[in-house]
Amino acid sequence: MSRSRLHKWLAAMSGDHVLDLRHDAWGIGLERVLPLLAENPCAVCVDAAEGDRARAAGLVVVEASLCDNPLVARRETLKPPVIRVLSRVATTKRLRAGDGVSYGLTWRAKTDTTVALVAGGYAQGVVRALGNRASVLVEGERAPIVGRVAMDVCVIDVGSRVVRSGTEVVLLGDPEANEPPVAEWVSVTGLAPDEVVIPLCARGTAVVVP
Amino acid sequence: MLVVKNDAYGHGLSTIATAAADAGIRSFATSDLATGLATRAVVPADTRVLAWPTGERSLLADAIAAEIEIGVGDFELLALLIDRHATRRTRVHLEVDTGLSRGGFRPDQWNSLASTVSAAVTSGAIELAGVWSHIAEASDDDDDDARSRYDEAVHALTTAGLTPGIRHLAASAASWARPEFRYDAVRIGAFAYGIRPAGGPDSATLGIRPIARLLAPVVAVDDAAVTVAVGSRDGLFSSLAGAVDVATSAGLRPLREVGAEVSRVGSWPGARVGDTVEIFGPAVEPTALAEAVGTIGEEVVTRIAPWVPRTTALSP
Repeated sequence: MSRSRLHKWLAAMSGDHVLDLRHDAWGIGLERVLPLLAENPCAVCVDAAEGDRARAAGLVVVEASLCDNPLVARRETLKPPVIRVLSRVATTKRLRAGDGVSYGLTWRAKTDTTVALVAGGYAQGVVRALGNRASVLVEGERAPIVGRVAMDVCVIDVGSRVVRSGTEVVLLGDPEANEPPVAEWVSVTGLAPDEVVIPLCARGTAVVVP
Repeated sequence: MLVVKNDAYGHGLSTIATAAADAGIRSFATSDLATGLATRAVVPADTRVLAWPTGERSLLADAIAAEIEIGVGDFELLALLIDRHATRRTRVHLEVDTGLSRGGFRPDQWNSLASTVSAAVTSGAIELAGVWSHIAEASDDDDDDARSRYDEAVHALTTAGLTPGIRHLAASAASWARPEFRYDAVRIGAFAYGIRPAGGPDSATLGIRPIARLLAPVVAVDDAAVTVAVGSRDGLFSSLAGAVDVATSAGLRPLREVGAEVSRVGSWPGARVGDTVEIFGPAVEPTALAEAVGTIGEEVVTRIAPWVPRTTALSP
């Protein structure tokens, strides 16, 4: 989560916005998010047991029923580009034309290519429906997710590029930097933006960056 | 081998591992090392725990110290394990790629793999505890090809003088349908949790049933529907709205809406706040929900958020 992007975004919010921090700030962790809000105190909605904690951080706590009512408040959430969802390349592998990838062999290499095994599968919130239908960003270029997304991993096609194990992979982020926007996953899966983002945050480890 | 990755498919690792150990299971498998360590903490000392980390290295020393066997599918991790100069030999399970193109050593690497491992076993750096692979389950023919390649991999290792240890190739579906895929062990995840394959044999045929229920309390009742306290943020696919029925005390009722925090279910006479609705379980199987939205039961159960309380009940 980017501190500067959060502040820029909070500054642009008008007075009738409510920041939705339920489910432990979408799985990011209230203990990480609350300190960042001190400079731009805003109205928030938190889990029932967390009201005192939010008030102690100088925030106005709004009832959940108001937060959910679009006539009363405009609800905003911590989705990209305020947050980015990252993984890493575990290993890479040369494939020959015709080689299949992952369960059901739903994708086969059309030419010789290199694929990378990336940590993160449907149990971590990388929705299974994204297989063969979405892409990630690796070293500045998009790489398609090929074959079925498995429970803990997915496979991406990096073509003729040489990508080292440990290389950062952007699953979701800022479209202005060519990072995949949440809207892409929403469009592929038919799910809502919050239900796309929350499972990823709830299973990953959040860090605050400048 | 009971597969307990991802908090035992969302069921609660410690509950499942403890119950399985009590029932006599002495072999557990997971992907990440943290789950391996958490499993080790609750099972008897003579229990095998296998983990196959995906790029994760930080807990490797702890895992080896805890006698967790390590699944290895690339030379980088293999070299790391061989070069550790540890007091205790690392027990490794070599993963071979038999056509899935995910993890695992490719066929053109098997001869060099055999010589590297042979030297490392001789020097006492590692012990070969197993040889394994995943199969694609695209068709019986594809799987037969994969099994032939698996046999070739084992042959390459034995030709180099190695003893392969435990050979394991099949997961739930193949272990049930293809006896010749069973070798020395099978890795059972989905079927142990009572999750049948989407589009496959039904639960009665398989002799399994879901061991978990997702129960949602009724928090409001009106003429049209009851409101239950589970929503898409808890991991219930919003795309299920209008696509499935769920189980109430009066029988099946349509799941009308799935909101962020709450959902709406068709009402029944006498419905009251405090009643519970079974979103999935033995009556409406996770795989039935999955099939309605084009996925598999494993995704339905592993998506349920960590903050949804897990409780254990003894049932017949």
